[in-house]
Amino acid sequence: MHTDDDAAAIRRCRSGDIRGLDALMARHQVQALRVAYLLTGDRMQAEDVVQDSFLQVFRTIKHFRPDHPFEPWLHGIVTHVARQRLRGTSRRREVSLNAMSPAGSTHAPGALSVARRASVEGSDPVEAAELAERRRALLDALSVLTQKQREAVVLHYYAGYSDREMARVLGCPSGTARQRVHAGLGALERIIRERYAWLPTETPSGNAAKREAHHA
Amino acid sequence: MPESDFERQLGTLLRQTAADIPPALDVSARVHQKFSTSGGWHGSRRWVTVASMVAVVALLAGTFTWFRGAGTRPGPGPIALHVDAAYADATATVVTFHLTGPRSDVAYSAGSMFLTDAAGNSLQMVFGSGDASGGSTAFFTPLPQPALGVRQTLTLTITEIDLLLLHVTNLDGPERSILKGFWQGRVTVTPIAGTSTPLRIPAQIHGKLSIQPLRLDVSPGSVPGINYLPGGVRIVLRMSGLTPGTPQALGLATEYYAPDGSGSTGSGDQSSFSAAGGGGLIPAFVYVLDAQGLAQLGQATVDTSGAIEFELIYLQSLQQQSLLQVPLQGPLTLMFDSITLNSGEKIPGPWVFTIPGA
Repeated sequence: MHTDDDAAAIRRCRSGDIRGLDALMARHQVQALRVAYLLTGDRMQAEDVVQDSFLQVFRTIKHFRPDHPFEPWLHGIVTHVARQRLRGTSRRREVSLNAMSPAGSTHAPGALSVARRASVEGSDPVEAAELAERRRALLDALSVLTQKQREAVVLHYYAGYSDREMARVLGCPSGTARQRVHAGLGALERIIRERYAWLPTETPSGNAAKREAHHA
Repeated sequence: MPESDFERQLGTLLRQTAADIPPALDVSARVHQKFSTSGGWHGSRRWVTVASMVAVVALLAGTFTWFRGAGTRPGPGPIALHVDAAYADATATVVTFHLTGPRSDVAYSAGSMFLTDAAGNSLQMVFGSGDASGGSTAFFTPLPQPALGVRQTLTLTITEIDLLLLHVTNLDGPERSILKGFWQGRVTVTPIAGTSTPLRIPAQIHGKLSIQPLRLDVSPGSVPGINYLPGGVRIVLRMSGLTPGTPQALGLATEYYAPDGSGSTGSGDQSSFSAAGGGGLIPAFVYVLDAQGLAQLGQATVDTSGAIEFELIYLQSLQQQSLLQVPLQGPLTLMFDSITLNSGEKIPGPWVFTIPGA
């Protein structure tokens, strides 16, 4: 359920006052940006998506049901806007191991920000580089999923939505949402294991451990 | 079904990756800028398709010719713009107006609009509120200081009107559409002059960032359309030490209070404008000054010297414990606890300035 503060801000937006959006943005924009970032794999695109999403929130706020929580409604809009943006830019691309480069190289916005964070945090450089590599690998692997699988994986494993909540956000039956999560999860695990060496050796999943045991 | 190792690792990695977006990242200034450039609170409605326009035309077939006529000529027509009143001071420019049309079951509300002062400056709409009967209040950026106290004519230009069948609840449906046209109304106003005091205060530097207040404009007036008490100030300040040619906004947290007493503080850096004996004004609006000295929403480009100027509007609210009396009795304290640059870099302060009363 949205907070009392959300309710006041929503009332303000409903009255046509754009400043009502400020409170909603203050409370929800970071999470929305992070969802959009995972969906698009690009910080600049994520910012554009969230900007457009909040404008859409303001323009369609009369459709929002006050007895429902605000954040899933917002994330539904973010998902929709991201979907349209990705469709428009035909972003889908193939990722190969050759595309990988050490953290700190400047071939993608995501890598840039990861490298900056690592240096700011002052952590062990090797550890930071490995972590940066995994983040990039994850974004690349997510980008290979179908759009619907990616949405389901991000909403479930990052935003923590249940099947029922995902169904509301994505506008599909909960069984369909669950199926997308399963399919997305399986595809993601396959992609990461095939393309990036770090997953099985670091923390093998149950399936991987079984496979390793079988081969042994 | 138990969670696999991969699922657990995936959740952790998603959270770590999402943390590439820093918590301080704030897109609100850009949202306001987009809102303004898209033409106000109903926006440009690019999603309205030709099909929906046709549907509206079919629904409103009886009045179609009136609409067409209204859209092609200025002034009163079948859909008429009536500018009722205007208010202007150093903190805001506000116009109230209403739209009338031929059908009682259709609400006519302004979509895209702008306001032009006597010098031809275009003022940006900050927000607006309207009702189903067509009465509206539109709140614009303030006039430049030389225009205050001088009687002048403001011209409100509406380029889009939303048509909405009143009994319809689905606002995205074909029963709602946009009528493009050109409606103008004029109103004469004498902006409240208040006082304007050039400030001779040295710049203060923290990190690489220098801030210097340049001018204090004080208005005793009461801005209509917002829930604040009479009396507000506009502070013009210069920020330097920035990278020339880069876009920059000033992401101060602003507060607002609704008529029902609820309120909220936006995200951003904290600032205050207070008196030594108690009382203060709250940060309400932040504008950036363009090359012509006009207040604009959003961000502007840092000039070649690495500087940019902003206007900060401080007002007082009923919710405050202690109010300032206008004219202000000095000394007053202007404070910024930190400044976050567009790059995401947060420069800690505080910058604290003592300002004489006005």
